[in-house]
Amino acid sequence: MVSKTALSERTALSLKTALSLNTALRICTGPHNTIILLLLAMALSACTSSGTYRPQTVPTMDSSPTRAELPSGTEVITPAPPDASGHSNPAILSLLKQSRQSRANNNLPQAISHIERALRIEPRSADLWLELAGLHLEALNFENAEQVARKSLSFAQESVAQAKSAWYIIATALEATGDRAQAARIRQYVKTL
Amino acid sequence: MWSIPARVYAQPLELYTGAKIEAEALGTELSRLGYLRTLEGSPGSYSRAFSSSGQTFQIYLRSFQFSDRFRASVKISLTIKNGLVTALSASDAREIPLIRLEAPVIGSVFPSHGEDRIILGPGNVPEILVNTLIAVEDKHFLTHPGFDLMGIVRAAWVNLRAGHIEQGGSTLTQQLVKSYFLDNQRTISRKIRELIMAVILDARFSKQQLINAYVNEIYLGQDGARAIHGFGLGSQYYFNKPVRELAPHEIALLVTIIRGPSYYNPRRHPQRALERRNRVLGQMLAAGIINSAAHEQEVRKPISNTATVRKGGGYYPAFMDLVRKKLVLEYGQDILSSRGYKIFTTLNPRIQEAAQNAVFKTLDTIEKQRSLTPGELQAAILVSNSQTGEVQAVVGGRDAGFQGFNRAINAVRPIGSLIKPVVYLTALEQPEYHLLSPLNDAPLPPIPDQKDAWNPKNFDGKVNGQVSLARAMSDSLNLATAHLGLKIGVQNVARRFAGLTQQPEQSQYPSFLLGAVEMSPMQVNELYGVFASGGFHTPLRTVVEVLNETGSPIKRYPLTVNQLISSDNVMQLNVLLKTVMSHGTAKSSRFRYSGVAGKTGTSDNSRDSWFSGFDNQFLSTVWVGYDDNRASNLTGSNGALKVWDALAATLDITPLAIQPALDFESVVVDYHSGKRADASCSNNLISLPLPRNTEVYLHSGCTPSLQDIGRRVKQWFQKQP
Repeated sequence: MVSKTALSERTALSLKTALSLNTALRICTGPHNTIILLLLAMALSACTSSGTYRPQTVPTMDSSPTRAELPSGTEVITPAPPDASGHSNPAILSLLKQSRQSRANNNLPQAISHIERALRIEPRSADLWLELAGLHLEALNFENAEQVARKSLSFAQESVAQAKSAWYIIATALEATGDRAQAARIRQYVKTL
Repeated sequence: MWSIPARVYAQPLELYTGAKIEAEALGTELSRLGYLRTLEGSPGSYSRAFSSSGQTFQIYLRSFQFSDRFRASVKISLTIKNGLVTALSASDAREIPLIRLEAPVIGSVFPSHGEDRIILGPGNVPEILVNTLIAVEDKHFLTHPGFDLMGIVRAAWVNLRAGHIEQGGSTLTQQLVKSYFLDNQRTISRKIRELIMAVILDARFSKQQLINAYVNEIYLGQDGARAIHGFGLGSQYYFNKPVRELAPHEIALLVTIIRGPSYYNPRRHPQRALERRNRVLGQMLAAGIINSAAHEQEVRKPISNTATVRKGGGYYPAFMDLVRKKLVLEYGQDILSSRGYKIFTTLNPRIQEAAQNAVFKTLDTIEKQRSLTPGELQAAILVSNSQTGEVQAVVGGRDAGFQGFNRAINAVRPIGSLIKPVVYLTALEQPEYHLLSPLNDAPLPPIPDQKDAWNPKNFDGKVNGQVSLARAMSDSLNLATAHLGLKIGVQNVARRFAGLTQQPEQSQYPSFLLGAVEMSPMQVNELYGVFASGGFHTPLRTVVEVLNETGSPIKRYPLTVNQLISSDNVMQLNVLLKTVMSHGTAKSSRFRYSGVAGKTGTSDNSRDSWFSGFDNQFLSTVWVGYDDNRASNLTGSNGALKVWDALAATLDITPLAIQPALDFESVVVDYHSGKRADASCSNNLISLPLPRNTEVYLHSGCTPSLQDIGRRVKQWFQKQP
């Protein structure tokens, strides 16, 4: 089993990596479900291969009005808005910390409530949605865990590890609700990321 | 002893470095919560100072039971510059990551006979209040056996000399009995029963118990259907703050009101109330409750603003209606009106008030500009956070403070072109359709032997021939939409509609394709929420958490989502909805260039004017029309969109971010022709995501770029076997 010490040894990692690690580890160490335990090795290997995820460069689609001075042949590209998942915002960091604290105290509803509060401040943070998905999985709300993880994937991803964590939550939730075939396909897919 | 109605709270204001709020708005928020602008040694006060770094607020926050935890009172300091919080720290200069103001009370769920109160325990009743009550109402309270013969005689004498009722002879105990048990008849037999019961009460209970009961029971006024009982609620109602923060002149005013809640109503009769309040202050001086210096000061205080004008209303019947409907179903009226539950909701009072203002100002303007009978046009709005589904504001009609017909929920009207995104989505979900698919904008072929066949027309009566799918949607072309819908199948669209609205599938006529289906603004908002949240159905939430009287959680209502549209398809749909704003029927919006998305809707004969629009965070749906269903001659864009614009101007609008999709590429085309173009040959360009390698023709007058030629060559090679 992964001990708490193992976790603390990794505190040197950047917080961002730690967050996704933590989420993935949580899947692995989730106390309630044996299926989750089986995923341990796999999830760990996924989690620790931290690399920067670069989505293939596709121009942002946009239909905003064009400017007259647009040089011929230039595509209208709006820069993607700054993504929230960097969490430079101390308010978000504080809420994440409080949520983890509540989780450590086995108060999952309160942990969820802290993340929802953070989402009111940064509703488009893939990272916060991922954190929420992990909490729902731990609370055995499998359907919502799967959907919330999908929601996390619908936003710009911060890292490969983050995307993988979301897919693992989806696979685990599907497995728990009986859709083993789909879960297996997803795990296969995650390997290609 | 009392049943305590459930108390309903709005969302608290979050403060953190980087939070967007104007200093003015924070000041308003603090006064809404009854904070005094004199930083004293007690919670519920603040100061505000200007400096080079901005405006610095020192706030002594009150303690508060939030939905997730109890927060003790704390002093904070924060600086606002250019509408941003730039620094936030505790009084010891330690930085604070974030902190909340108290959640404002927006109402309570009281029983049908309409009593509401905030119970004060003996420790929470200020001594000055008790002493003033005794000095003014019942000098011998502490010694008499429940009635006061001398008091009656003295009152009779004073009243005789004054020529009117100046003093009542009833003891506090008698007043309590009257309030508890008896009706308002003034008969001798009633007076005698009252007296006997007062004596019994006095024998059974301690004086402290009696005064505490009195403080919680006495009637202090009427707020619509709600009776204000007790000083706890009275203090909230008249001054927006807890009893322990009341100044002597405010206590004097509440004691004044006891004597005649409607006669001395400070909102209706401020002068009359002021005069009697000052007499009460005189009695307080005479009884040694305040000294002469304090008396001097207090009599000069005007009847405070909050007592005369209820700032911000704080009363949102349309939203409360939603909350009550949800909770009564779950808990039952009895429990809600008696157990003292704390109900934490999603309402954002700032957005709520902005929405109310947007409605009445815009409707006034429209009526003036069009010489319509003033005051008859109606509207409804529902604003939600599109990502979390939390309802931020509900306006049920023009007079938002009036608990009348709640149009946001109950006005179920034909939605007109608001249906079109469902038609286009159903098409885009089939592999052969993309944003430049050619559609036929021409009259429908006549059906033999059917004279009254469905024969739709475009809004402007024109026929445009072949148009791109993007333009057909953006210009809301009825003929092209009808052709498309018939081709993909009316029932297929109906099935998709049922899936997106979580309703059972209905068999539909072709007119369904152009919006012959009725929905409420709230239902429309939930449908458009699926688009606004990137394809995820996010049920609208009004209640976040219910706590019991002691603050323990009873139930949480978590955020849930459910993906209904694939990311590629919702991406294409949202590009269409952005094009509606930038080039289509909503281009008269002042947010045309802001990268927001939306759709206009107009029902037959312009009876209903609709607009639903969203940016990254807020989704607002507006309906405008007449209650009696007569034609307003307003289209979606010159009715509902105007209201939406007025509301959006107060929100922090950010351009809708659309996630790029892997198998798509951006193509710049001329909006009208739907053909590849650039600035040298078109002044009406849009950029659309198309499946990679979609063949797009060149707009006339444009010269192919090298890129185009390369693409052509590549496509030609790919087509070779």
